[in-house]
Amino acid sequence: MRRILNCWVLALTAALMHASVFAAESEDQFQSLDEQLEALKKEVISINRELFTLEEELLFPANTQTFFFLSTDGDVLFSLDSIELSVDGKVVSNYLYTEREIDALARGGVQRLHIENLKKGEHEVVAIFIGKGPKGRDYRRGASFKFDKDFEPKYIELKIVESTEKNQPEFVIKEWE
Amino acid sequence: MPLARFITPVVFLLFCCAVFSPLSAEPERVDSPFYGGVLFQFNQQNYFSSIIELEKSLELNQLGEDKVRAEALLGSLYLSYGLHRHAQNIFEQMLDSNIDGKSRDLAWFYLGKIQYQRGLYEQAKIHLGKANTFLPARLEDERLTLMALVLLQSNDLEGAIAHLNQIVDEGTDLNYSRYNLAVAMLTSGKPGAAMRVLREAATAKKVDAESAALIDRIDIALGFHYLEQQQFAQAKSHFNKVELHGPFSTQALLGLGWAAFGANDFGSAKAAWRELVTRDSADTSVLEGYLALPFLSYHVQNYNASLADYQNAIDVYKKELEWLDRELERDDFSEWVVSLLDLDSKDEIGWHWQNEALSDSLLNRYMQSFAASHTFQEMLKNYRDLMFVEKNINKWLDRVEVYENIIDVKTAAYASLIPEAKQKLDDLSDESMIESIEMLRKRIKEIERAEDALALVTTQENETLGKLRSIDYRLSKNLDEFRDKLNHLKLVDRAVGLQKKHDLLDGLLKWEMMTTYKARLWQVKKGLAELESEHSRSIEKGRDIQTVMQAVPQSFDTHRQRLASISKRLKRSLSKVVGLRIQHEAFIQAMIKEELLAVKRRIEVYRSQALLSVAHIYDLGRNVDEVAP
Repeated sequence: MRRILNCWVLALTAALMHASVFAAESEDQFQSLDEQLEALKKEVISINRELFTLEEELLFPANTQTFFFLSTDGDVLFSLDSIELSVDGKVVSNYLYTEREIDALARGGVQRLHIENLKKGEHEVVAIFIGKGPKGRDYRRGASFKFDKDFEPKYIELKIVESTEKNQPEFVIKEWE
Repeated sequence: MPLARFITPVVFLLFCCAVFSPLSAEPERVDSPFYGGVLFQFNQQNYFSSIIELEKSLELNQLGEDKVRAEALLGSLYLSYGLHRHAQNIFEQMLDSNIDGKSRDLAWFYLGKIQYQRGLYEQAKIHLGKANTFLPARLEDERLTLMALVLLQSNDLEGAIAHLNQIVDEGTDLNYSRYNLAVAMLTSGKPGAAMRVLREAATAKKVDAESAALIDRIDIALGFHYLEQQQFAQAKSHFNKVELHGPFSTQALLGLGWAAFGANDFGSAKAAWRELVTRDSADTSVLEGYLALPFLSYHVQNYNASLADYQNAIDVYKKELEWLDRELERDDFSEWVVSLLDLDSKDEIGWHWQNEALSDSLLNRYMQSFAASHTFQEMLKNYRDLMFVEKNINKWLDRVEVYENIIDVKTAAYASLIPEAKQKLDDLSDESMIESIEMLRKRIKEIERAEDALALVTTQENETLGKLRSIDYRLSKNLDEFRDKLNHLKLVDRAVGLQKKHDLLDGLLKWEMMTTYKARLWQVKKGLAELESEHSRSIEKGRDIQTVMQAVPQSFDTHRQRLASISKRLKRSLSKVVGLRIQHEAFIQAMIKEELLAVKRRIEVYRSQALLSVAHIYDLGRNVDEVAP
């Protein structure tokens, strides 16, 4: 039995020998490509970072820049489908959520929902939250918030929290603290 | 039978795909919305976007209290993205700064991991050893696995096993760790220790398809180990545990046949191999099964059956070789590579292909295990990253054009505002305005000196005074000119009465002016002070506007220059990316071709063996006259 098995080993080893030599050569060539790729990736990351910064400076100058963020309080009694966001009576964003995004929010992610250029002075934001509430019922709730914009960037947070007293989701808009 | 052929590492599953938040599996509470934004991308496995957001937020100092954990996340993302040196820099910088124990452990851990990946085992051992207090459970399990692999490098088998035994999570990850450790033990020539680890791993439960496949893989390795040791009963029991239609079933059937053959249970051996040859003939085990079956018949001296089965094997090999020749002649496997890339529709980078997703196309039949190999996976991942980067650069090149247009539009719009703004600024600095204010100040001083209450009348009072003067004039004139007529009409008294009434009203009004003079003077002075202050403010604002008027076109120019410079860099990078992609394509094609050639050589060996055996049986027939020609 051992003799038979040994024959098998010899035959297969010969056939596989060539492949392993190639594998070693491949590894070297692969490493060199890998190093080039690493340098290139870093350069592209750096360009992307600069472009995103420039894009923001160009489209949303710091003195008018107003960010609207959305966050959730982990496991809330509300499954978000979409949000309609209005600023000073004008609808500026209608956002439909994917499951991946909902999961990302539930795990502590904060979505940069919208950026707007606003003048100095008082403004009002209204958000309509649409989704499924407790027991899978259709849910549509609004929340509004008035704020003063000065010449500094403004950060407004839209938050879905769970009211333990009412056993209902609550929708809060406030300045990010 | 070469055991190593049946036990290949699945290391990449553990060390390349595993990117997770370095702090916690629980929802994270964030201080900065920008760090939350990074997590939003990260949680969706958009690692490229996460890196960009992190770098941008760190550069703009937007992360507040989240800065340290953001740096740790960036380091781990760099690591998963293959930027080892940059990751190492981040963790070294973290350790040089004043950070808490939790962050320090993270930095030690990642530094150790990078050093392990770069083959710096002694340093890795030191750093991994230090990160032993605050790591979250999953990272701690990974740390223990890495420590086990590092210890194995210094031949500390007991230490390695002891570290694995400390892993808390008894799930599939632990089995991967055990399996990988066994592979490492086997490649460093310690089959006994490897089998000890595998035996422990084989006792795990199959809770899902992934764990089932891994345990099957372990049973295959153990089965062939016992087969080599000629412990056929033990070998059989491991092969029997493998799923009959799982990814390792053909290896199990081949091994099962040999185990039965070794135990002289030829019926069972035949049954196993008969089942084996009904499977896809591209599988190496099946190809070997075609040889094993006639060998069994030969062994039991059933030469006719043996001859028929060898002939069948030769036909099958011929068919496969013809097909391989056709594929090799075509010499273009790009379609197959593209089909692999299409399997994953994610737009971002940093993924590994999962081998169960391959379709049953002809090339896939031979490429299943090759496509899952670590080197090919890494190469394919790089190729996909290059495609992603190329797409990203092209997208930005388009946008750069749009932004250049935006700057042009803004410049033009701004230029159109300049004349009006300049006129307003000129008005502000106009000397006549300053002179008017000076005149006003002098006039108020004169009023004050002369205590001229009448000079401070309001418009309404002035109108009333005008009316009173007009009435007075008309009354006086009438009394003078028409006194006789008025007498005749007996209206003189009435006119005199009106005159008195006028005098009273006039007196009242002037009295009111005199009594309120001081208040009025104060009011006027206050108004003058306000006017002067407003005027100086306007002049100041005008200066600001002038500064802005100079700065804004400059900022447009700066933006334009930045865009031009970025555009150049984008074009430069694009040409490098395209060059590198072409090199990767060529390399992948060469790898595939070499793999097909290796398969071809293997089948040719099988075919030669079958032909030799046929010749040998014919020889026997001539000598013994037992075999029909």
